[in-house]
Amino acid sequence: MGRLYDVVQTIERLIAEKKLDPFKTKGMISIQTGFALGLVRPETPDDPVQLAALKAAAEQVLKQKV
Amino acid sequence: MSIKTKFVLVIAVCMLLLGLGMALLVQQGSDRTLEITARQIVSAAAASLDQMQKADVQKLDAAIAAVEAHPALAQAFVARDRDRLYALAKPIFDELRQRDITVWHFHDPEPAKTNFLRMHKPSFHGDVMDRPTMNKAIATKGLGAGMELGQTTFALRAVRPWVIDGKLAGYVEMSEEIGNYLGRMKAQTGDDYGLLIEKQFLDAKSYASLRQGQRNDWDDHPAVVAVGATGDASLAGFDGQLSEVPVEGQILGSVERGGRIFLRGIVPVVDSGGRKAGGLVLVHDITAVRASVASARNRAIALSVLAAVVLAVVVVLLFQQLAVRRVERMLSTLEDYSARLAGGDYGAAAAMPPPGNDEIGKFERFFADFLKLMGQMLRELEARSKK
Repeated sequence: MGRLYDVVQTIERLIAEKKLDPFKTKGMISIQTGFALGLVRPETPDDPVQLAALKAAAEQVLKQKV
Repeated sequence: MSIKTKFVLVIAVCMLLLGLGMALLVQQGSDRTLEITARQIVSAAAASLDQMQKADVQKLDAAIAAVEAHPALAQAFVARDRDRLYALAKPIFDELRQRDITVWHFHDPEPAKTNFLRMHKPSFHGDVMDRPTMNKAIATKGLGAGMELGQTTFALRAVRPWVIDGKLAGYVEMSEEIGNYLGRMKAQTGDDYGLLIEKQFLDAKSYASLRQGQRNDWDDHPAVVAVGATGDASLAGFDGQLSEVPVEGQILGSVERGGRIFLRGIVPVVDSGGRKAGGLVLVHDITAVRASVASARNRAIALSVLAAVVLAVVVVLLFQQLAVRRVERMLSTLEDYSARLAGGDYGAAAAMPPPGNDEIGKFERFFADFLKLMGQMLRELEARSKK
């Protein structure tokens, strides 16, 4: 548990480093994954399908391996 | 395929059809112009032939009147002194021949109606004159005139009663062959003409015997023989039925010769018995007219095509400016603010640009309200999930 939350945190860090619009960037990733990143908590159960979708969407939007 | 591409294709097809339609209309218009011009040319030839006949009938009638006023001729005719009549009339006849009046007859009155003297063949007389012009002069006690067919060509005849001292002494007839009509009409109009006669009114053997060494062209055409032409005789033929040619004339089509285009038409020659016994073929050079009409047509078609292309470009540009760009702006705005909402900016709807005052603006207004509601719902959901 908590891996999904960790990936979200990584994404937020990368957004900050790249100085991207946080709402729009997270929103585009959320639309592609099918769930809102803002609702992911540390206790949110890990789902391998969601995890894979999140990583793929993040790499496509951020154009960087996550 | 994008909506814009589909629209451009539809516009292109519509403008192509419009251009083709306009080109077709222009072509039909120029064809109609040529047809009207052709009809006018043929009608003018018919009118010219009619006027020429009327003028020459007046000429013949005036000559008859002058002769009937000659006292010595009257005396000789009443006395039935053929030799004296011939001697007195011969110098007058020589003068008349200078004016193309080549036939001058004196006839006995009815019931005999026999020929008394032929000025051009004094030894031949006594035959019965049973022609429509003679019969009309008898019936009307006045002028009987019209076209009549001889053995090889038409003659314009005029016959008048000769009343001497209150008593009908007989009839005077004068006529001219209409072969010279062709030359006179050509001099007036510049066109070439040909004269045709219906074979059914001629005798093939007589025709052949009177060809005077010329080729016997009896079989050149199925129903007619050509008895004269001012230009290329091959253009003056007719293979149809003269009886079916209307009085006002008929267009026979166009033919190309030596790089020039000629319109052919035919006008029936109606004899004094009302029969369409012959035809006058006219050949009119329409090269310049055709070129002018073609030039105008081509200009009109080019302008039509250009107008269609310009209209298509204007329509596409207007569509691009008024619709496509507007939709693209809307899509971009909705995408941006939807993404922001999904990214956690639950108040994104408040920052959306004001909607436009058009159909798309109505949807923008609705979507802004929808995003506002979604934002509130997500905000509350997040708050509950944190508890």
